[in-house]
Amino acid sequence: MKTIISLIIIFTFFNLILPAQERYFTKSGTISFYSHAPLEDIRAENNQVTSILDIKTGDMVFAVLIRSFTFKKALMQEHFNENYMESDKFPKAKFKGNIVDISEIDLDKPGTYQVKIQGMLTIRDKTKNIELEGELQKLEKDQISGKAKFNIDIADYGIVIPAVVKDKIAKSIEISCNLLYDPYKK
Amino acid sequence: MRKILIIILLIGIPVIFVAIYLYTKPVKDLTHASPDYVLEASVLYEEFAQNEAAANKKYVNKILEVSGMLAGKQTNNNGSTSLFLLDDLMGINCSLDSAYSTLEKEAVKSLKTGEKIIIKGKCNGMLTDVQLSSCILVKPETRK
Repeated sequence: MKTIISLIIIFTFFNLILPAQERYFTKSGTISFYSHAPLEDIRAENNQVTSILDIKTGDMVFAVLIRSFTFKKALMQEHFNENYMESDKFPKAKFKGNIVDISEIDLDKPGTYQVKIQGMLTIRDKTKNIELEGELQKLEKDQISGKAKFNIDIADYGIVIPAVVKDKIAKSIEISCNLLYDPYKK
Repeated sequence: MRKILIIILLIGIPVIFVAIYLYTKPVKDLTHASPDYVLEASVLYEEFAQNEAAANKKYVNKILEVSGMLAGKQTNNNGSTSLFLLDDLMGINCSLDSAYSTLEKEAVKSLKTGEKIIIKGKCNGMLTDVQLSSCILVKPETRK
């Protein structure tokens, strides 16, 4: 009898202290891109990035709607959607990847961690394997902040630049990610 | 010869002005824009859930005035705020216009989960939820 009671106590105890929380989630992450061009810099921001991060396996998924990228200039936004990204045909982009060195960090403890990420980036139905470095920060309040910056070549994703403006648009684009994850309760 | 030059100038100058105007035109501020559709959040979500292609055709790039229950809100690292209608996961994701949310900081802060609100924004399509951007809150007194 005694052992049963102590077992029950141990189990309840473990259930209380073991963090059931392994998945973190956001629907309001930011992805922005920047490219330097002779005429003018091109910059756009999307504040509706959906992402899930599993802090035990290191798996991560990102999804965005191309049309949710907003520019300062209306005409630039129109060209981006209609000529370059063809948002009607390819409305979404996604990244499915993994933190390679997840076993070396403990995201249950507050702190800042540098990580290596590897995965498949799909834009305009073209998928490429990419590798990048990122920073994860576990905050005191049960939240995780994630940041990363990397470059992609637009030719890899079949984006065609008309010959007239070929020299005016950069061939490589810098992409920045900045997300604040909350625990995923469901 | 002079006549031709004057004609060229008369046509050329307006063309340059129009070109500059079009090129620098900012993305639309929706405060005074009249909505293309006025509807309930649940109706909008159902239409997308049942036939995404048809809903895309009907609503994408259109200005919608959507009313529904506030299920949650998130503010991200750069200060941009999203309001979620209906459900945290499968509902309407409304990203507030940054100028608007700075101006109406207190009003946005005072919103409570479960409250019924009306939002005006541009529809971008569906991910796990229907996304609206450049959103502003429609208060009863500013409603047309």
